[in-house]
Formats: sequence, C-alpha cells, structure tokens
Amino acid sequence: MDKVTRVLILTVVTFFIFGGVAFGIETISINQLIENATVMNGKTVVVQGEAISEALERGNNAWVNINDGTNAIGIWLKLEDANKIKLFGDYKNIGDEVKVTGIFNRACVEHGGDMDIHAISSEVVENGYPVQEKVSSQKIVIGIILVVVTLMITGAYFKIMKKPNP
Amino acid sequence: MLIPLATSLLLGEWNPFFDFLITLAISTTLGLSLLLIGRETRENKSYVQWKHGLVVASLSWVILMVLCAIPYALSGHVYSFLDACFDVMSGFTTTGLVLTQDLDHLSLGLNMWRHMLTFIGGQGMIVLALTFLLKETAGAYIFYVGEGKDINLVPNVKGTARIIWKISLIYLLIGTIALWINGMLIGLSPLSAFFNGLFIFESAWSTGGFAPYTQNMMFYHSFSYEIITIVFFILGSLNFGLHYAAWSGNKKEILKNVETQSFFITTFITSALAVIALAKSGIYTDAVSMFRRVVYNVLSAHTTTGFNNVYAIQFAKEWGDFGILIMVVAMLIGGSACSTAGGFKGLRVAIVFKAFIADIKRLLSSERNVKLFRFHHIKDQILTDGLVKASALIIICYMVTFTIGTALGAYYGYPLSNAAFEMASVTGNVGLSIGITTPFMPVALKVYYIIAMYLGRLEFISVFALIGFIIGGVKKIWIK
Amino acid sequence: MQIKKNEVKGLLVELLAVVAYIGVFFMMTLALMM
Repeated sequence: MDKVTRVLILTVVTFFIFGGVAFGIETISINQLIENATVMNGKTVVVQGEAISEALERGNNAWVNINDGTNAIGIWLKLEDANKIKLFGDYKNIGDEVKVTGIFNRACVEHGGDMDIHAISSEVVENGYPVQEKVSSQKIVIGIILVVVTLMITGAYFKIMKKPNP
Repeated sequence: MLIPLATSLLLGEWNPFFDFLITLAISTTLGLSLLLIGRETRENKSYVQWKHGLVVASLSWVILMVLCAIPYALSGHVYSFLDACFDVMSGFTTTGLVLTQDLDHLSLGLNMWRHMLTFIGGQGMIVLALTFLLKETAGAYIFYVGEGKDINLVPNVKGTARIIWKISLIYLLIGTIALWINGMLIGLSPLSAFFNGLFIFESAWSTGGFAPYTQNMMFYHSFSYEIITIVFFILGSLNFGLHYAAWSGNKKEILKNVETQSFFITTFITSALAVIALAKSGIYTDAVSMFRRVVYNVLSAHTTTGFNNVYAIQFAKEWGDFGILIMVVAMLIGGSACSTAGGFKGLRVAIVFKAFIADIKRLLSSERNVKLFRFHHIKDQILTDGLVKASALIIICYMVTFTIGTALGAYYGYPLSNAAFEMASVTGNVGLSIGITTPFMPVALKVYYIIAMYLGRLEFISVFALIGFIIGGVKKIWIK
Repeated sequence: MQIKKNEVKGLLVELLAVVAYIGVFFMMTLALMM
C-alpha cells in the first residue's frame, strides 16, 4: 500500500473513532440509558443534565450527580473538570447544565457495582442561576389570616377554660 | 411542625416557611376547637373506655395524615393532595415509597419534615405500644400476648418508655455524628454532611428509607456510608425489649433471643440465595460489588428499611423472577416485633416454625408424654397454642392483604412478579420500588397502598377493634 | 439524662454485634463468589 492510501485510511479510521465523540452521538436521556443498561454497557454516551447539590471530591477525581428531569446518575470525572461547575442545583438554585461524554458502566467494577458514567469530556453548556423565590400573595394573606384566627381561638380557649362549669 | 418552620426560617426558605406556618395554624385551631367542643364531655367525666381509645387512635391517624400532607401539597412538589397523603402515610408507617417529585430541589424545611415524620412514626409506634400495655383491657391484651410481647416490662412502663427514648436519642446522636464525619470524608460540605447525616440516620433507625435525593443511597457513591447505614438500620429493626435488655446488662440476650436467631437465619438464607441468583447473571464480578448491590438491598428489604443503591428498574430487569421472589419473602418476613420495622415479624415466624417442629415431635413421641415446648424471648416462655394461633392469624392477615394488593396490581396490567414485589414492599412497610409507585399509577392501587401501609404498620389490631366497635355500635342501633 | 456505665457497655456490645454480623455476611458473599 502506498503512503497516500495509508494516510487516507488512517484519516478515515481516526475520523470514525473520534468523529463519534466530536460529532455528537445523540444525547440520550438518563432514564433511557438506565432502562437499556445491558445494551449500553461499556458504550460511549452523551448525557446532559443539571448538576445537583455538590461535587463529592475523592482525591484527584470527583462525583457529580446530574439530573436531566428523567432521572439522575453519577458522573465520575477529574477534579479539574468538576471544578468547572460553579453552581449546583438545590432549593435556591438551578445548577449548571452539564453535557458529559463518557463511558457508561452498568456495574462499574472500580466503584463497587455502581451504575455510572466515567467522563471523557464534560462542559458546562448553560450556567445555572439562583431562583428568585416568590411567595404568592395569596399564600401570605392566608397565612396571616390563619395565624390571627389561631391566636383568637387560643385566647378564647383560655378564657372559656377558666370559667367555672355552667 | 416548629422544627421545619425554624429550619426554613433560618435558611431563608420563605415558601416553606409559610407552608408550615399555615399548617401549624390550621392544626392548632383544629385542636383547640375540638378541645373546646369536647369540654363538656370532659367536665361530665364521661368514662373513657379502652375501645374509645382505639377508635381515637385510628381516626386520629387519618386526621393527622391530612394535616401533615398540607406542607407537601403547598410545596408544589406533588401532583395531587392524594399523593401528599401517600407520602405522609409512607413516612408515618416508615415505609419509604415516594411520590414527591424533584427531591433534588426540595427545600431543607420540607426535607426536615419528611425525615422527622418517619423518625416520629417509628418511635411513635413504640410509645403507642406501651400505652396499650397501660390500658390492659382483656381483649387487646390477648393480641399483645399473642406476640409474646414484653410482658415483664409492664410493671415499669414509664421507666421503660424513658429508656426507649434514651436509647433512640443516644443512637441519634452517635449515628448523626458518625454519618456527619463520614459524610465530610466522602466529599460533602460540613453543613450538608450534617443534614444528610441527620436525615439518613432518622431514615435508617426508623427503617423508613427516605433520602434527600432522587438517587437515594446512590447519591453518595460510598461503601463506607452504606455500611454505616446498615449498622443503624439493623439496630433500628431490633426489638426494643432487646435493646432494653442489652443496655440493662443482660448482653447474652442478643444471642439467646429467638428473634435475633430467626433474623440471622432468614437474612442469611435470603442473602445467600440472592447472591447465588445474581452470580448466575454475571453482572457483578467481585465480592464488594456483590455485597454492595445485592446483600445490601436484601438486608434493606428484610429489615424493611428501603434504602436502595440500584435503580428500581434494575430489580425488574436484573434480578429475575427468582431474585424478586427472594426479595418478596424477605420483605414480608420483616424485622423484629416491638421495633420500627414492618412485616410479619421474626418473632411470629419463629413461633410458627417452632410450633411446626413441636407438632412433629409430638406425633413421633409416645402418646403418654405431654410435652411442653419453650422459646426464649427476653425471658423463657412457653409455646402455648394460644400464642401460636395468634401469631399464625396475624401472618394470615398480612398474607391476605398482600395477595389482594398483588392481584390488584396484576389486574391493572403490571407483571405478576413486579406487582408482588411492590405489594410486599407496601405490606411490609419496606419502601423499595420496582417501578410501580409513580404519580401516574392507578388511583385505586394508590389508595389501596395507603390503606395497606397503615394496616401493616398497626398490625391489624386497631382495625379488628375498630370493626368490632362499629359492628357493636350498629347492633345497638339496630336493636333500638 | 445520665448514662450509666452499664448502658455504655450495652451500646458497645450492640455495635460490635452488628459489625460482626456484617463481617459474617461479607465473608459469605466472598465464599459464594469463589
């Protein structure tokens, strides 16, 4: 085989190996991934979800749990990558939306049988933001009215209980 | 309600703050109103009979369920008020099935509430049990003696209740600290590690199974964290009489007690069989994985805790019918009597099993021998026919509840093994789900599950009394 | 709430018993996987 052909073949092969990763294997929903665990075991997948709660640092790596609305799963990634995630989701915040490309494990041997994804690459595709808490005025009004009613009944209770038997 | 209220206040969670304020207001108003209305009855010193107590206990659960559901309903995390009631009942009965959505974004106040409910639910049962012993009416006592329950604790009930709370609170302290420290070691921030520790302890000790995240135990990705939960959920599933004995100096009781023996045997057999079943499938190739994903879940099921570190669908797809059947048996057998656990209870299983052996022995021995068989539960006791009958009857009640629920599930089209798994989880107040429990499940099934959780937790006693009371009342009116 | 020495002993025995129990089960798992 002459050199040109060899380079061509190498290029095509490389394209196919990395093309899958670079050119978007379809993003799969976490729940779909879990439901098809047997088939997807060991495959490179792309998932995207909100980073939840906090990163769990374990030495040079970290766990980041992401939730895409269908389910939640743990992503095992390098600490530097985990530190790219600035905001995590909880009651007061919507966390950073993270897109992860990685290898899906149905029963990861490294992690005691965990169903997880070992990230090859990850990026924050959308920044999270604090949620503006809005208490509906209806709720506040009802709350105040009820507290007043409660105080009134409490007052009435003590008054009536003090009275001697009619 | 004050605790979640304070939690939300301190953390600046305003919606939950108002939710709890509203609930607190409604509850207080209702309570005081009822007290005022009932004042005359009290003044006339109407004789409160034991049967009234039972009806009150059963009814108050329903009212309590509705009141405690209000914060859930107002939070926007449930699809319906029925779902809110379901979660409350699940908490009180220390089941652990969840219909609340988006746990990952739940307020700390509401999470405090959920886990508190399950802790109180677990403890409350013990206190309730002791109160029954105080009333000592012949009818109810038979059911209690039928369980071979703590007869020697009766003379000192108040002291016993205090010791029980003491044991729970000391474990609460130790458990929360252990989980707090381990939590920080596995990467949680200090404050987060504290709350997680508190919540997970409450869930483990009460054998409830709630967790503050969608992924339940999987969130932590930690073997050490899981082991600590095993320690506390097993301890929580043990008979309080046993704790009382061990803490009073009688440490040998741990080995002599027929329930611990029964528990050891049944957990060993179910775990071993599950390991064998899953080993065949080849999914887990090393002992650590097998222990974490199989033995952990079997123990969680058997103690009726309900922590899971595999996804619900995995039970359906990876455990196979044999694995599912083992889990059903483990969930139905349950934990110890007079504990936070559910199921038939190891004591009844042990009694029935021993009675079976005894009967065979009687058949084989000479007819002139009158054999008395014994078992040891806190103290040496005799295996009387009355005891055996009572135990067997309650087991039958559980089986009937279970069978009807499984049939109902099958009726709605769920695969039989799945329907059985979910129903065993409900009947035994376990909390593991194979995927049936969702907000979109058939309403009839949802309602049946609520009732079954309730029945399972109260061990049918109150229900018998309630039915008897109602029939008695109807008869009286009929005769008039 | 005072804690007597007896009770601390009881507590430690219980914890030890459960840890031993877990150990036995782990051994069992190991054995079955061989």
